[in-house]
Amino acid sequence: MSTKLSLKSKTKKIGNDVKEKFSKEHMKESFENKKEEVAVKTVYKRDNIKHFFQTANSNVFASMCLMGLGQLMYKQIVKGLIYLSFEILSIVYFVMYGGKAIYNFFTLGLITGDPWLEIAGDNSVVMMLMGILTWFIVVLTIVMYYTNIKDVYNTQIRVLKGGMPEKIGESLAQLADKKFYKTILALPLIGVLIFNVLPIIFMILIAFTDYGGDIVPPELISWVGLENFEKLATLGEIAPTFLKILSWNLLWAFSSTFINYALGLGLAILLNKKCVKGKAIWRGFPILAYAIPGFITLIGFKFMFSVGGPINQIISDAGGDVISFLGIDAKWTARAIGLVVNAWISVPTIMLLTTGILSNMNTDLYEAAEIDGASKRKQFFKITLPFVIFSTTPVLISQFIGNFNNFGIFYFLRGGLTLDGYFLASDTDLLINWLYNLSIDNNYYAIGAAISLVIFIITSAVSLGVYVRSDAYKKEDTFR
Amino acid sequence: MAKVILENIYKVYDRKIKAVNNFNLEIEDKEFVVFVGPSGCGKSTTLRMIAGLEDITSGNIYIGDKLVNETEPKDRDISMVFQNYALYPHMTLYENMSFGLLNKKVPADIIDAKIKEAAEILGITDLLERKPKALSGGQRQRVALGRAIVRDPKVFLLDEPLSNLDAKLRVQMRSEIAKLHRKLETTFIYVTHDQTEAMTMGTRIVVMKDGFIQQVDTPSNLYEHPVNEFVATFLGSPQMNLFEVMLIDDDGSLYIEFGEGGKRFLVPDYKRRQLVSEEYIGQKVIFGMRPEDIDEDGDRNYSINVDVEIIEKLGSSTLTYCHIAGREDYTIATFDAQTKVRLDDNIEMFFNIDRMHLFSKDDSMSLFRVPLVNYLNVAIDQLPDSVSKRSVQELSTETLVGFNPDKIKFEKDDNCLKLDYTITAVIDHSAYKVLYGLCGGERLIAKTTMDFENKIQDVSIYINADDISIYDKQTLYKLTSDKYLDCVLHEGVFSQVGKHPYIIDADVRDKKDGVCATIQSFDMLGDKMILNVKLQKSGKLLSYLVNTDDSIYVTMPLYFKRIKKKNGAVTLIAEDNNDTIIDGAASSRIDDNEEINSKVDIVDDNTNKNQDIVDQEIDDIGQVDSNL
Amino acid sequence: MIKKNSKNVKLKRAASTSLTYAILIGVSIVFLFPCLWLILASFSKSGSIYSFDGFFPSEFSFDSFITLFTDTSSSGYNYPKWFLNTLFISVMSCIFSTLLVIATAYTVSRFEFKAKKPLMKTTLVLGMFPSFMGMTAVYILMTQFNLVNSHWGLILIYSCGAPMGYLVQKGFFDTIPTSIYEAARIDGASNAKVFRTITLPLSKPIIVFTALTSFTWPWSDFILPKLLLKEKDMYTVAVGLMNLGETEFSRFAAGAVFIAVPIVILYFFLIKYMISGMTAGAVKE
Repeated sequence: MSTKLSLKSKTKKIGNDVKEKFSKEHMKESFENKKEEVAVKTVYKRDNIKHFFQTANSNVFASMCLMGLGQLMYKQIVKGLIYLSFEILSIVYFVMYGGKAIYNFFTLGLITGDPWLEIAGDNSVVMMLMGILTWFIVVLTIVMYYTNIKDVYNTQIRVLKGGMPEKIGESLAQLADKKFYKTILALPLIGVLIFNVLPIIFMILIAFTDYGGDIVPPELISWVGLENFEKLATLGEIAPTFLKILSWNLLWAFSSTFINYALGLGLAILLNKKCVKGKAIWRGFPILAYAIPGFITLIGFKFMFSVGGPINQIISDAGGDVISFLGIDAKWTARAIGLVVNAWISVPTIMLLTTGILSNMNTDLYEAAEIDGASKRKQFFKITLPFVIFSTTPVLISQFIGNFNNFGIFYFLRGGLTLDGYFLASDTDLLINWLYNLSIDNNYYAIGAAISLVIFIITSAVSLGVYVRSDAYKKEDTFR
Repeated sequence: MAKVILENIYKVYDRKIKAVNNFNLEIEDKEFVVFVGPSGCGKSTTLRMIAGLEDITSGNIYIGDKLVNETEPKDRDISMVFQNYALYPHMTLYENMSFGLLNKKVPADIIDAKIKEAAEILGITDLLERKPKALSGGQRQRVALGRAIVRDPKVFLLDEPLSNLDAKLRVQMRSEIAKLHRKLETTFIYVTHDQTEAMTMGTRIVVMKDGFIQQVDTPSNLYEHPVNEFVATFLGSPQMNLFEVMLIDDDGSLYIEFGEGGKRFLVPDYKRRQLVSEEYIGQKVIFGMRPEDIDEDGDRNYSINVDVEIIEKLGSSTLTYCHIAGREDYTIATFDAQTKVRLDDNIEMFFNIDRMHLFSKDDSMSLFRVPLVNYLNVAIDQLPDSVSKRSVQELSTETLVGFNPDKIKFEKDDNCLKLDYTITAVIDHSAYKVLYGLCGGERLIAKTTMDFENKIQDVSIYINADDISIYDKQTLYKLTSDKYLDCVLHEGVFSQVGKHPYIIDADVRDKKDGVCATIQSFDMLGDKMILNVKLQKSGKLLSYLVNTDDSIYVTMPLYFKRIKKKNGAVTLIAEDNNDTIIDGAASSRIDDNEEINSKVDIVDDNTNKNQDIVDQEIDDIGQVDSNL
Repeated sequence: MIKKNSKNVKLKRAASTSLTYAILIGVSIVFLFPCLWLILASFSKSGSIYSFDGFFPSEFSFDSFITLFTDTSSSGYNYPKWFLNTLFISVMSCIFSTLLVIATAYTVSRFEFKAKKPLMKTTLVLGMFPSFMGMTAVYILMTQFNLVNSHWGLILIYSCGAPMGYLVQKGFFDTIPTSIYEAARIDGASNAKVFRTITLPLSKPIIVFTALTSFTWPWSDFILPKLLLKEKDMYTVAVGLMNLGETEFSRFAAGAVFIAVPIVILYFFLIKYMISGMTAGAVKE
């Protein structure tokens, strides 16, 4: 007979029989509810750190010391060996290259090469690159370490519940099925990391060095902090150029996007009209313009507007003076031509896009509006426009960014011109063209990188700002 | 055998959103069960958990006696019909139906035979070479059904299959699905938000709201005896009329009074006897009456004067929306199609008092419901021994005993509590009967499938010891544990102090790699908890009484601490716990001549402290945790 | 009264229709004209633009086309080789890009995993960096890998950059209802099988779109090849034609026409896919 504990009971004064029963029912109900609450609250495994350290067993700690050890202790040979070999490889790497690479990353080289004396110096740029690569590997190692621990811990929990540690066959099967996404995304991820992320990080870092002009390998580059940005803002030559180009760039981006979108939409609506026969044929012409590769069109237009080109020929034949459309003094003409040519190239895309969307529209709305007495104009502004804008907000944003960074248009139309009052740029150059002139043609890499950063901040701010406010984002959370 | 059992199913999203709460249901083979409820009540989620398309947060699902929690959908022997049919658009109907079987490597000729058979049943044989695009909604739905049939499943799951069809087609398909069920003789589980579909198709209906089951019963029982206001208003169209009234006892007779000093309806005696409790007398309650139970003519004692404001002629009947003075909402009555009542008439409405419903004002529960628990004062010596074994408290001479009305038996059996019961009323609920009566002067309600005549009679009732729970009279805390009744209740100390959760029990001898048990479930008993644990190695089930601890969760692993016997008292490790401690005698289910030091298992490999055991003074028996 | 009104209405309609057609004709001329000019220019006898009579060549001949293909010796000129180079690069990047993008977009659309949202946000932000930024870095990287002046370098860059643009394809995959996948799961198909037997057949439009765009992009891209390709014989068509001046205008026109024509034809044949591809990513319901 076991002795029972006596509960210190809370004495409650409860009245007569009736009330007692009444409160019993109530107690019972709220009692059940509390039970529900506790049950639900505690149905979850709490995965916070404290809990983890409290419950992790020796195998987990083994893995924390040496990757793969815990797995081996659970007799997961293949997995354990994989992790172990990774650990060994990473240690070897760090000892032989990694440590030095990180050191070099921070110093960016200490020995200047001298071809005369045949001293092979340090190549700062390569050092930076390899440094970044090494940082990647550091991150990778940390990630592997983390997955290693997580893996052992999960195995521990599994065993706890009465299961067996996962065999390699099972793990592979998982990767082929449930965890398929891991297998598939691995390759693209690596590709993107190396060819997109790495360059971007590299350029961001370059913006904080003095790479450029005279300071190129074999000269040593050093870190200069925010100097380049200061130069952008204040330095005699650079700052005014920067501001002038920036303002033109913004003007350009807004006006070209607006024009293209308006014309494209207008064309789409026009073609959508009931009275138009043979829609496919009419569409063919813009599509023709769309299909031709961009650089051909641009070079073509350059020739068309050139001093010796057809337009000027006609003008001179008619007795007028030759107009230098794209020449040095033709600031606003050139800009206007840029807008026109850009429209020629981009309007078909917008037209095609909005055609598709317009066909999705609900025609009932128009009928209701007509009954309400709305004019065609009103219908357009109150019904069509909001719908189309909502549907294509992301396209608008990407068009804006695309126009902002439209390298080709002025490169071909007016490439290479440098004007007074501008440091290595002309009055139609966009930031990105200036970037090109600076970096590729004149090796002012660091300043170029700083400008890139500025471009990025502007474009991302605008696009995120618009996108987040847009209905499209508010109503969906995963870009659908 | 295709019984489906859902045991304590929970579905919780992000630790906050409880989609399904404590869903318990046993579905018999060949039943047609319908889950019905408003949008977002958790019915689809539950169905998907049965299918295996959603993970179960906690609980167990058995399909045909097999635990299927971790099984892939394809291995569960189920078929599912989706709301939007989910037909593979680029395959012909034939290919659609054969896809599943091909994956199972069924030989081609058998596949062909099955498809032909299913197509025959559904009348789509000549459509087999078409693609889904070329079919109408009804045809597509049939193909979806066909695809489900050829798999020969143990259970059919249907997720609102008729929602995308137009009204006429829906009615037609309803009967077709019902016919299909009869023909195939397999379990059907059907989800819908349409109460008409539920009422017409199901053998049993599960009404859900906000993730909780409201009531499970046959359609007619749900309609006639709803357990709460929600069920009452959810089923039946137009909706039940609800009035706020006062329950008054005037000179021994029970009345419902509409407003202070207003009209009174006398509550018939047999109805009064059906009240779940008398404490509602003198309180405000909700009186419910369905529109079809209000007539143009009837007993003068139950009539109210109304103004007719709106009339809807449906052809088969006429709905009248009337205005009662003092009540804002319309009172709706269904009259015959030939009624002479016109707009703006002032008429008398006659209530059919036999069909009255009463609901509590605070928790909307029906006052005529069969309660979950009957509470009785019973002398302790009357109780079978095993009951007290499950109790954590000394049973005083008068213990409050509780048991479920279902569990009352009328045949003598071993290990039962015997009581004398005077039946005063028997109400037929078609599938079962509800008995109202007195036992030892206290109200007792029983639910049974046995046949009883509706007259006053004396019987002996028996309740199995396992079905009896004991409650503390004052606090109403349950003092006995429900589950694992064939285990002995151990006292244990549960603690999270230090590194690992552990239980101290001298008895346990399991040892395996550092972990000994996992928590299977737990019960709240007042301030304490009963942990039901399963030993890893032996699989034995034990129950422990411990302090309530928020950190406890189902599937939690537990360790057992080493203890040392000293001076006849068991000493325990204590870091700095002030948990309730076991008394030496109690925990020595250990024989006295056993050495404890080496025997009891622990499992504290990771502790930096060495395995020295710190002696600790043991508190007095009966000293309890100061937290209490 | 009514008669007059209907006449008015009819007049109005006629006016509006003629106006519409007038605008359409104008627009079509605007788009057609430059193309026409280039085509005509390619048939000019003299190579220089100065010999033109306004927009039109003074004399016609096939000379430009002939020299296009035969003149490989003069400095900086080797059109046939350029053509083959570009063809090779395009085909290769088409294959790899399509594979990578479709795989990425499908995975992101269909599977839920913890890293998904952060991943999507990161790629969005990354895409906002001007593509130019990475050029120098890419150049240096290529030097390290010895892939400067190599076609494979270009192919690698095009292919690895492609998955960044997965949003359009993802938009398409999102339109396949989840219930189809669930039904397939109940029917016992593994994820790989589902992709093969269900997703792929339904994805023809988007695959064609992706293949087409990734094939035509290298034809018109000039920044990257200009950066990476150093030898005249390694040039792509875009780089090569860029260097021609006004005196060789008709040759430029000929070269341009020669590559534009196949691309335009391709586009026209597959315009249906182009539109569905564009709208897949852009349209919101």
